[in-house]
Amino acid sequence: MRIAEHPILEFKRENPHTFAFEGVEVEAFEGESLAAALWAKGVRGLRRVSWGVLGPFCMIGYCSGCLVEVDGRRTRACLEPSRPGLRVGRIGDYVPRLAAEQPGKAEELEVDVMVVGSGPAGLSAAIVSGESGLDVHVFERHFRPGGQLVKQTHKFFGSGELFGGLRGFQIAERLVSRAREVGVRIHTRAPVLGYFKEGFFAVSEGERLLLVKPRAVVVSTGAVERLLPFPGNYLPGVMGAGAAQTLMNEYGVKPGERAVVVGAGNVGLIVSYQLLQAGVRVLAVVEVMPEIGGWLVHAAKIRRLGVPILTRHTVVRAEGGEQLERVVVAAVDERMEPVPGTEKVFDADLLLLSVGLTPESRLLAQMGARMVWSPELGGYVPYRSEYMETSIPGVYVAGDASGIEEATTAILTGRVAGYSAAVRLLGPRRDLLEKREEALRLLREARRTPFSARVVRGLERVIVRVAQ
Amino acid sequence: MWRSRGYVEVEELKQMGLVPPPERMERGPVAVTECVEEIPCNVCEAACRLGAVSVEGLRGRPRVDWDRCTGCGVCVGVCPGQAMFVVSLAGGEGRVTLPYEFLPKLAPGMRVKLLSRRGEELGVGEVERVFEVNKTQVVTVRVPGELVMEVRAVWPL
Ligand code: FES
Repeated sequence: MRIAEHPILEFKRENPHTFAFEGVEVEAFEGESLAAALWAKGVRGLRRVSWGVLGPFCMIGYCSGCLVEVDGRRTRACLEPSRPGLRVGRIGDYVPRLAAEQPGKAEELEVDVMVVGSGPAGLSAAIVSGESGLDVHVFERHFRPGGQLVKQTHKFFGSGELFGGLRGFQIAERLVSRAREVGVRIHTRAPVLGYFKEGFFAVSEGERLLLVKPRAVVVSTGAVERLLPFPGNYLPGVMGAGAAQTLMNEYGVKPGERAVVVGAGNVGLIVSYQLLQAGVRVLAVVEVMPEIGGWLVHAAKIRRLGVPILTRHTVVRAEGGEQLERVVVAAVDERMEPVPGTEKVFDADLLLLSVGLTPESRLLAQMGARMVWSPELGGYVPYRSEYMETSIPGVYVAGDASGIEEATTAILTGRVAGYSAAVRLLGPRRDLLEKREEALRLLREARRTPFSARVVRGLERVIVRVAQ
Repeated sequence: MWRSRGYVEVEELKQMGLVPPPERMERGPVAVTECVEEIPCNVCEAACRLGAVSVEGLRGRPRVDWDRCTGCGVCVGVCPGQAMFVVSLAGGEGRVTLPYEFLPKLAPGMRVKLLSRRGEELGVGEVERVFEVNKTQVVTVRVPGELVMEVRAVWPL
């Protein structure tokens, strides 16, 4: 179902058209993903596997729960913009065909700075290196730039110069238009496939293969939402909190009618409030820890609207046939084990998991950057200097790919990485060094909260101090 | 403890010195901050043209100078945490000003459910005044005098 009216957002819904899914007409609008249009139509399960039906989990191209066939080509429905007349179907027993050889089709592209990922970190890096006069290219695998800021409708904390008080999508709009203003070229639908030791990155953009040869690289590939193991977690209707945000806040598609949210960190609390704004009932927020993980103010916003937060509770199973119908939760003991006899059953068609994120740093690992496992930062992250340079000279990391934090720190680490790239290519210009110091100062300030203590501990182990 | 409950009790706010005395509320509207954690944010301070809100550095709890504050409600609309409210007992009548971001949009004269910090219904009140700050409606609602520190949300009837 589509959201007709929203208190914060306006959905453009231009150029209505249809495509066919398994022979059935599906209505869609320009700029909508196939996955969103299918969800709006009520199609939940997209993939049939031997043990059940799978649906979208991430909505940003990671989980492959949305794999479909489009005009004979296998693709992720969440990354595929709808076009009139597409023929979309479930994939059968898919056997990939050998790609036809297309000699001479690769194009070479030499750039000063290559930025991978167009979220707050990548755009911020691109803006500051673009402002320094460098030729900057951003590569984004989605069909719209902005990363996950695009689906944030709440106002951000912070000070004026860090966009405090603006809503996430408004920050994304500003970053994108500023980047374009300073001459940054943003390539969308252009996934970076990998790095080749001959010194180029392979990028697939539309029909062409690009071999990008950059003089400096910023990897700002973001993060992936975590899955939680419990019976039924694959059922369509069980999805990451971010996936529901994509549906309701980006496309104006109602993710469900009655929701249970797992995890009372900031993401879980914020998404619960956004669900209410989208007209979805939130039956409960379930948190395994004895305390709420996110900021109190975010919890207070949903508590005063009557949403219960069940601390010391966990989800024990999800039930349903072709899609989610019920969620069973239970209290946990000191060892975090469910206590028999404490089960509560919720009739829910939506179960959102907000149990943390994992840095998406595979490109850096593939390039050979020295990586380290950091529980505090959410997973494998690259060692880096305080100027965000990895163990590979001229290759920088920024945002959640360097460790899970939030949008403000992503913007700031992006600025630091962007200035570092500029310093490398333009020399240690005083203005660049000063601006980088200023970004570092703001970063330290932003991390001086009780919630950042863990991150700061993690950073101490992954930041390699270098004499500059 | 508020971190397991999800909201602060009035008693806790009082202990932290965040609740203006009744005499001040009787003199007219005044802002109350319920932002008790050290959030790296100073949007309220930056928005107050009277300099009545101060945050130590970019973080720390905001404090309201009850003598300077006129209860205009701008901070209610800008606060990203929706933790600013305006209360008044002027003329012996209770009024609370709070943020609202739902549908239908509210307008003066509409009657709404009054909700506590815990989401309990505390009765019905009438909307008196509404203005908007970046899509957040700042709503002043009439409430019984004894409830000015209790009502923290409204919901359409
Ligand atoms: S890859 Fe499309 S929903 Fe996860």
